[in-house]
Amino acid sequence: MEHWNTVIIVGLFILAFILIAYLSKQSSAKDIDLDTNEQYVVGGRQIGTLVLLLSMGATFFSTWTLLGAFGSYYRSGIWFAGFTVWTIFHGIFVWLFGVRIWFIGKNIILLLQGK
Amino acid sequence: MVYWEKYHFITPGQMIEHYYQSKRLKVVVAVIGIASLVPVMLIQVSGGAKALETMTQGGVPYLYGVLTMALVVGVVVLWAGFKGTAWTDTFMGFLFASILLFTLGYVLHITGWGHVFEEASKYQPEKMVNSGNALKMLETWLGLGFGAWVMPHMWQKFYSASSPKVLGKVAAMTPIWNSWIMAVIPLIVATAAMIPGVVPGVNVKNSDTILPLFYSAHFPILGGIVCAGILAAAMSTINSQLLSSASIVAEDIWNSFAEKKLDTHGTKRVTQWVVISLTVLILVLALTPGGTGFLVPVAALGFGLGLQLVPSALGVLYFRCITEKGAFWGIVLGSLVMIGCSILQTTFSATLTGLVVNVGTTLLLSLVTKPVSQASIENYHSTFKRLMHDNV
Repeated sequence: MEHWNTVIIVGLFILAFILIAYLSKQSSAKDIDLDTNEQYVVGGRQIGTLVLLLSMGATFFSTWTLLGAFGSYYRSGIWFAGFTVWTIFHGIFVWLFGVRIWFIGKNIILLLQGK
Repeated sequence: MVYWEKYHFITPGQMIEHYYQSKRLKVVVAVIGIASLVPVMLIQVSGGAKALETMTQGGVPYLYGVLTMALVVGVVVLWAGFKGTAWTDTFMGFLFASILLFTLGYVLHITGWGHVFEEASKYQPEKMVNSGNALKMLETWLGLGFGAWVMPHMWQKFYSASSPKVLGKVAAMTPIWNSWIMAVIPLIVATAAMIPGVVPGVNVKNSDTILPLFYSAHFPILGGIVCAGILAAAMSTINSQLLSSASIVAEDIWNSFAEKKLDTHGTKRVTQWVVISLTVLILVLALTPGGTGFLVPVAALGFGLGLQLVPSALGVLYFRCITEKGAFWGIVLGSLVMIGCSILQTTFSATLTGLVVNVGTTLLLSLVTKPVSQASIENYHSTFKRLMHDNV
C-alpha cells in the first residue's frame, strides 16, 4: 500500500512535468520561427527572470541537494556551511561574464570598414 | 562606411572559434564540454534510480527508475527543447522549495523555534565548531564558482536571457535562492537531526537519507513526495545538459567536419537525433552491469574539466593578451594533467594542478605567439569597452 502511494505521487509528478512541457511548447508555437535551432536550443533568447533564475538553480540542485547535503552537514557539522560561499561567487560571475556572453551571443557588431 | 552584422551564437565553441579564428579550439572546447557533461548525466540517472530503489525498499526497482528518468527527460527535451526544460525546471524549483520549506517549518516546530543549534550542541558539541579543511573548501569554491559559469549548459542559459537586465536580476537573486535551498535549510534540518527523536534511526552511515527517514517517521503518506523530489532533482540536472551536449555535437562537431554545413533547420534535426542517441546511450550504460563504474571518476571531474575552459573564455571576455596557441595548448595540457593526476590518485588536488598547468601554459605561450586579430579585438574588447564603460 505504501508503495502504491509512492507510485501514484510519482506518476502525478511525471504527468505535471509533461503537462508543463506541453504548455511551454504551446507558447513556443506562437513564436515567429519555431523550427530554428536557436529557438530549440536557447529558447529564442526570450527567457525572463523568474524562469531563468529557477532554471539555473534547478540545474545545480541534483540528488545531492536532497540527500547528500543533509548527510554532509550531519557528519561534518556547521563548518560545512562555508561551501555556500560559492553561490556568491556564482552570482558575481553571472554578472561579470554572463552579460558579455549574452551580448556577443545575440548581437555582435562587426565594424567592416570600407566593405 | 560602417556595417553592422549580427551573429547568433548557440554554443560556447562558436564564440571561441569566432574570436580566436580557430576551428581546432572550437573542437577541443566541444570535446571538453561534452566530457564534462555526459558522465554527470549518467551518474544522475543511475544515482537517482538507486536512491529511489533504496528509499522504497525495492518498491521502485532500479530498472524502472532508470527507464522512467531517461524516457521522460529524453522525450521532453526532444519535444519541447530549451523552453520545455526551462519551464519544467521552474516547476521543479517550486517543488524543491515547497518540500524543503515544509520540512524546515515542521522541524522548527518540533524543536522549538530558534533553539535548534542550542539543543543540538548539548548532544554533539564537536559538530558546532569550525574544523574544516580550508584548501579543500577553496577547491570547492573554485570548482563550483568558476567552473559553473563556463559549463556549456550554463553558457547557453546566458544566451537564452531576454535582456542583460534579466541576467542582472538573476545575478542578484541567485546567491539567495541557491544558498537557502542548498545550505541554510539542509544545515538546520541536519543539525536538528542530531537531537534525539527528530529523525529516528539516523546515524553517520545512513545520514544521506535524513530526508526520507524524517518523512517515514513523521509523514509516511508523503514519502512519495520525497521520491518525486529526487526524480525532479536528477531530471532538472540532466535535461539542460542533454540539450546542451546534443547542440554541441550538432553545431560544433558535425558542422565542423561535414562537407556541407547544415542550415539552422537541418542543424535542429541533427540536434534532435543526437538527443535521441545520447538518451539511448545513457540508458544502455546505466543498465549495463558496471557501466557507470568507469565513468564515476570522470563524472567527479565534471566541474574540474569545466574549469579548464576558463582561461580561453576569459581571453574572449576580458584579456586580449591571450592568444589562440596559448588557449589551445593550455586546455589540452591542463586537461591531460588533471586526468592523469586523477587516474594516479595523487595526494595533491587534480583540479587545482590541472588549472595551474593550464593557466601557466596559456600565459607563457601567449607571451611568445601571435596575438588574436585586430578585428577580434575590435569586435569584442572595444565593443565591451564602449558598452560597459562609455555607455553610462
